[in-house]
Amino acid sequence: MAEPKYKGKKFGPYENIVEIDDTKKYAEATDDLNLLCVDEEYAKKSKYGGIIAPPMYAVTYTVSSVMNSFTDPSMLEVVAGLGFEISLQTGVHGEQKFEFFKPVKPGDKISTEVEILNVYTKRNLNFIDFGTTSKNQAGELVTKGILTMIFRG
Amino acid sequence: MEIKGKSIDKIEVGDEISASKVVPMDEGIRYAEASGDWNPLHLDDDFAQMAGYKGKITHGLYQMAFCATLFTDWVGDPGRLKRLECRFSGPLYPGETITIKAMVNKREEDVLSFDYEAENQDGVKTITKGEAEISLK
Repeated sequence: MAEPKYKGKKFGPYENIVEIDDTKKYAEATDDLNLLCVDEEYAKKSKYGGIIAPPMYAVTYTVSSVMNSFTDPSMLEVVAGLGFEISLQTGVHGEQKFEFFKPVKPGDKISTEVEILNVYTKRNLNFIDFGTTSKNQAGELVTKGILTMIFRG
Repeated sequence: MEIKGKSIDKIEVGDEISASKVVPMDEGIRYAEASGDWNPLHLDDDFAQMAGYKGKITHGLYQMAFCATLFTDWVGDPGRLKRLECRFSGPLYPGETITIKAMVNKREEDVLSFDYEAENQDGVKTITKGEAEISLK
């Protein structure tokens, strides 16, 4: 049964280095041909001064951070109290919210903190809202997100 | 991307922009490699069938990325995406056609707000409760 006492529990921060090959790969895999994300000459002349990651590249550092939290020893304590398993095999991504504050660039080091915002049960399914707060190496907020996972009981 | 709808200077509350594309058959592996999301639902037909699907399903986040690209392509530089959210409501399979329809619900001086949904070629909703905010500068 879902236990509200886990609300507010935090994990991480988890660090991700942004590589130019990775941001371009993300853009290509999603058919995002925005020149700011794939054309270095064009991007150099822009207000950003170089390539930026597509906004949804945020998936790479936020989802991986949430997945990393699944194996954090203190998450194992949470799971023991919840009564259902938290894993990729039993979970489905139900909803996603992102707020984008600052562009992410190759070379950035992104630190993401994961927080359990809410745990609840609807129609015999278990929901967890994971909040993510991501900052760059200067401590500037780049992205905030809420990833809702649905787990079978 | 071919986007249907009015341009930024002409669009008003209630107007719609939309775009469609066919999901490539290799979406699962391509998106997994790019995003790090290796959930077997998107890669393994047998696993997905055991979970009740016809076969491996397209990443919801791949669909959401298509929505993001619709907005960033439409607004162009120097506009930018400020907020994007949605619910993943139903499966979309590789080879199917996704169509996103986004309607302006608010226009402020520098920010446009949209509600959006996505559906497959049969009109089955794959994304609902979509909301986006775009900064025009």
